[in-house]
Amino acid sequence: MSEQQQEQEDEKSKSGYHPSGEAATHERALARVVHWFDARLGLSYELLRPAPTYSVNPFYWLGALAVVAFAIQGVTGAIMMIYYIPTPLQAYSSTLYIFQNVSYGRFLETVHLYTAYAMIMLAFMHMMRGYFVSVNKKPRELMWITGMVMGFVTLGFGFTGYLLPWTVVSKSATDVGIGMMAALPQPLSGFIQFLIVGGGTDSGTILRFYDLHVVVLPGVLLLLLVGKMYMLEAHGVSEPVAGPIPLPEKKRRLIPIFPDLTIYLLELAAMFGTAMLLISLAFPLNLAPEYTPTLAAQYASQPDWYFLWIYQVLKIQVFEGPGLTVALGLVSVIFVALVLLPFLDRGTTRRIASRMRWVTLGLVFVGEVAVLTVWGYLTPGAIIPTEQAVLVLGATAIIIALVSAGAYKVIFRKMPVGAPSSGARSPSSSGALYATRSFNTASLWTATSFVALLTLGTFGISGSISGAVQLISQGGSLSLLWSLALSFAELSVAIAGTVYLLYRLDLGTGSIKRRVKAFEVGWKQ
Amino acid sequence: MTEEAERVAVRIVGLLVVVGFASSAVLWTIDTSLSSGESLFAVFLSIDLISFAMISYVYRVTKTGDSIGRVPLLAGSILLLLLLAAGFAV
Repeated sequence: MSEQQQEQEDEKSKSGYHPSGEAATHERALARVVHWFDARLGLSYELLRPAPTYSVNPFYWLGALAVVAFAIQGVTGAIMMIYYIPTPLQAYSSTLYIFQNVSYGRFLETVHLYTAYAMIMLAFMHMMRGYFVSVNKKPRELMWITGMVMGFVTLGFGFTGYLLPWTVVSKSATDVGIGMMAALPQPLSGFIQFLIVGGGTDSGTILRFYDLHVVVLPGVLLLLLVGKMYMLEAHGVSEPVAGPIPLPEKKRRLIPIFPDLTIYLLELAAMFGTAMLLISLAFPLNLAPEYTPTLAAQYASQPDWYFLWIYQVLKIQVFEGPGLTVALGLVSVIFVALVLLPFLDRGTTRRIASRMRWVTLGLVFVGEVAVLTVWGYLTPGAIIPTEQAVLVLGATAIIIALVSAGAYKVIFRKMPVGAPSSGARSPSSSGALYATRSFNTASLWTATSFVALLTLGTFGISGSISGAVQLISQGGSLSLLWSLALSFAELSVAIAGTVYLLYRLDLGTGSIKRRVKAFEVGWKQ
Repeated sequence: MTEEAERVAVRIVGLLVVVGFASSAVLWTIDTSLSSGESLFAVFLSIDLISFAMISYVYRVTKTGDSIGRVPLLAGSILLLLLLAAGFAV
């Protein structure tokens, strides 16, 4: 029996699906569909099973911490609901009332905001961790999709909650967001507009945002959470990605959900809660002025930090005007690709060592999001020239890709290949096969790397010279210094990469090494 | 786990329980109308949470038969002391 057949049999026996006789041989399409869902949703699995010891690790519980943040938001939000009035005339004054007159009101608002930020950041980290260790593979495809939808709901919380204080900053940013949605193709645009704006009046909009924020989205999130928890129970936590060293037996030992794992999760929650309390104490929230159209005209509209990367893409000159739909389409493609990742990344292995392209792609995505966010923060309201955007985003992608490729070459060059798709390797298989690369492939890699480094070096040199000339002629500005630093970084990476390649090409064969040794000997003599 | 380590664990947990209860008592006595109330609330609630986290850590590690790590306990203790000092300063 092949490995795949054995796996299917195992799944069937786990799910309690036992076709016999003719039914087994003439399995109907409907039964197969039911079985597919059963294997993924775990409808017939035993619940609250013990968890392996290796799951006692904070990285396994980033999603759980996001849920803790959600719970804190629920409590603080429920208290604020007592005082908050969702109308354009009273939204700001009621928020100010909470700030000034309610005991610990300002602290409450601050904790609510920072836990929202933490929830978004934790959800992002949870997603990226899942991406890098490839938890989306069979049978966790539906878990991944559910998690992605939960991520969008979390962003929805941020979007809808941001408007509620009715400050000039929040209202202007939300107006920008609503305006962007209008550029989406129909009927999507019409549906979203109907959902969040309604008749288009301010009072209608704030009421809908409030309703979405405190009723609809929490309800949807809770439902999805129950579903995801159920599937987590069914499949258990994913095994660590296989490395060359087998996982020790001690790490594979099972521990009960209660009290051991529950206590561990409470421990994490307590530490997270402490961090939130102390951060809120150290950096209390300041309420921006109330929204008025006159005041709004003086502000450069800017969304909150978690949407800045999208906003920065939309600010690129080429996407101005009719190009906005194209930009939104590009962002949508990224989101859709993330949702459908289990069906795009079809490889069977979960090993990071064997997934260089996907890992590099993920690193480039994280890098671009970070660069766009910081860049967006530094250039509020400014239109970005297309050439500059190509240079910055292209250089970021090239640098990250090169660093990733270099890291793979250094870290994984002697790692065994051909490992099982997940889990600990058996002791007998470890160290059996070693990665080998033919001379032709190595030459191709070297040539490609040199071309990439040359391109990067060209960008770095031209950027550095141009930046230095501007610095001398026009004086320093933050954006100029930033651009200059980026050019120097490009140049440094290009130089370091070239030196490394030369080292690999020459010292690797021993010729320079021999010469150096001879020189040293000669010097000593 | 050796008897000596177990004795140390019991002492640590005992001390942390006292700290936890004391900080909870302080939380009930805070005057909410004072401007320093927010800070006191955050500091003493943090002390409570850290004490709880340390107690559960000692319990968990003791139960699995592993040795209690010095670094987490030392870091937790230093943080507790700093927070206590901050609490009294406020």
